Amino acid sequence: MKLSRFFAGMLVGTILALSYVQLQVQIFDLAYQGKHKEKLITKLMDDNGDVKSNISQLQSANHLGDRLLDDRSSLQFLSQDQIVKLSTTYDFDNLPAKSPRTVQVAEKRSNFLASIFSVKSQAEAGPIR
Amino acid sequence: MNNQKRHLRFNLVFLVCLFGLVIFAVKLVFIQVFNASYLAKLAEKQHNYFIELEPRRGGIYDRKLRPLALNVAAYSLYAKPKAMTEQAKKKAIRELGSLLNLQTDFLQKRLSKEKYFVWIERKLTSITAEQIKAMKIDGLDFIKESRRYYPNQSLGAHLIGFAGMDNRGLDGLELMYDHYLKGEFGWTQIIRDARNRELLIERGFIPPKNGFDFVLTIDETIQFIAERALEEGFIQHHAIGASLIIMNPKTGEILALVNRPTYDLSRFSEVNQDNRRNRAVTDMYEPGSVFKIVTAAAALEEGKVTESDKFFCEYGEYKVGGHILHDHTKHGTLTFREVIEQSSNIGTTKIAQLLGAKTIYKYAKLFRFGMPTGINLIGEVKGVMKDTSQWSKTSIAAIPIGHEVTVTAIQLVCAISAIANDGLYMQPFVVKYIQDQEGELIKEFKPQPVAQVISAQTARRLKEILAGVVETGTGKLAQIPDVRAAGKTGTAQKILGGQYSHNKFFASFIGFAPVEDPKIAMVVIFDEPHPSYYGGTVAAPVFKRVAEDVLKYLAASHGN
Repeated sequence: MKLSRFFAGMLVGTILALSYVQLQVQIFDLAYQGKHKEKLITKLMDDNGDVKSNISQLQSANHLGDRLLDDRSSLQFLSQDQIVKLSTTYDFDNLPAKSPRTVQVAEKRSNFLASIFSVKSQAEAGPIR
Repeated sequence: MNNQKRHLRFNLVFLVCLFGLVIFAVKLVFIQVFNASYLAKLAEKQHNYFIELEPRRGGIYDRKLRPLALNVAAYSLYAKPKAMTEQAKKKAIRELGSLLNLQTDFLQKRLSKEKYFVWIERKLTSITAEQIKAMKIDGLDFIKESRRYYPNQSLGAHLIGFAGMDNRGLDGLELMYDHYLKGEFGWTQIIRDARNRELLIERGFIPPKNGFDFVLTIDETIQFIAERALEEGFIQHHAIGASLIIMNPKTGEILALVNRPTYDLSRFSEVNQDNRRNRAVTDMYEPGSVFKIVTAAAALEEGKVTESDKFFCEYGEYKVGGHILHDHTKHGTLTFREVIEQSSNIGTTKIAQLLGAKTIYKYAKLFRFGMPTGINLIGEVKGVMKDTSQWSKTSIAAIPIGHEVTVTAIQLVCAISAIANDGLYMQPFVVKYIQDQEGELIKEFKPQPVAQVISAQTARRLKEILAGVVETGTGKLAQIPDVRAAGKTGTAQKILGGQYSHNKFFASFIGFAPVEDPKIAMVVIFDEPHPSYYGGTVAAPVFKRVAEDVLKYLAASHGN
């Protein structure tokens, strides 16, 4: 075997071996990074759990009841006769239906007027759909 | 000469090298061949790491999925005394003592042990754990666990029960359904480096099976209303115990179950057994006049009396079997309806005599007295309902008015519910359904009719009579504005040392509302209230207060 062939073979072998080692190093590096991220996620989840438990404690009937009914408060559940119903002569249920064209014209008019008197840009003054 | 010397040196160096190589070769063979399995095991032990994965214990929720018991992360603090310096130990004793409120003696004792692992404090919150980490004491570390958390503290304590340090149920539903709640442990095999750092490379993984979630029939708001009212009554009447149960008479769902005294679920170890007892199902007592509903139901169902039939009540004294029976208020002639409304013992006894012992016993059994209701709660007792063969001469004057018979609060609420539900007795239950973590239904508990104890017509007639008790009889303090309520009061002497006490009583009220379409049935019992001790003055006002608020709440939430 020629020395040059031997060195070429050695070089290929070394490159392959180094590539393998490099891949292994990358795998382990990713494993360390993964573990680090897992710890962060676990901590965030634990914190989330703590916050959730605090919220559930704060919104529990026991807590709210004690706070609202402190010092023998006279706070009570409302009965039907304690609810005030506002009446109006305007009949909302039987309003004449507007045609889409009427609505469009009205919108255009208001947009036109708004564009004249508004100091805002068109984007800000535009109707939100 | 020079050549010879060089040759000798060369050979010497060659031999030394060869000897060295041979030694290396021998060592290599020794390592690779003879020691291989041992070293491989050692390496595996160092790099591979088995971790047991704790399952999430199932949560307990009210009927509107509001949490009653859930899990939060907890950190258990341990020390490695053998690896700690004296300085670190002193610092730990000084700083941990004040933060965790631990005795100096306790810490000294723990840290003086010649061990690599001793618990200091289990299940600390993350905030406390962070505070300890900030102290930077060498030789202290944490193990992450989970801890049971009860956001409502004492609300529904006797029903929910509690789980211990190892997350195993020890009382209440936590114990009864521990098998479903606890889940199953999983495990994983991970790799760690020479510095003991874990790598996210798993060689094996069996996920833990989380416990199932429980959704109860209890409504947190109704439970709170009941707790608040019973607590006030308990304090006001200086009772030694009290129970209150609210049930949906049409389905058998328990909407609230309250006992006094009670305890904070997160501090269960600090209270005695007496506070932890679920009296509503474990304690039996002589019911007194509330038991007259059985006599009245039997009389109407058997067609032996009508509402207007008259009974002479002997002006308060009536001799039966050598025993003189008294009425609280002296009455002359009362109609059957008035006998129940005014709770006349003599009138009720005369009705019972008309019916006979066997009929009374038959209806007591139909209402399931003397047998467990089968509610899914731990420790239910069946009470005592003697067979007619064991009745004495005075039993006919005692059992129909609620003496010589013992019942539980749950039996009473089921009995009054049956009357409210047109005579249909429903199985009481507290668990609505069980679901897994993904919300898939595992088991559903549906309303179960047990028996038609009296006809619907009789039930409706009895309802009107019981409405009369509240409107004109002994239960006037149970009246609810704008709602018709029905019920029966009871005042029973306690038996102490085999004798009826003259100053210790059970005061009770059983009832339902509205009469026309009952939404709730309720039992309220006070043990040894004083100075006032009548069911009509002690228990009936609690019924009124609770029923009033609960009906408004149910109307607002459309009964969901």
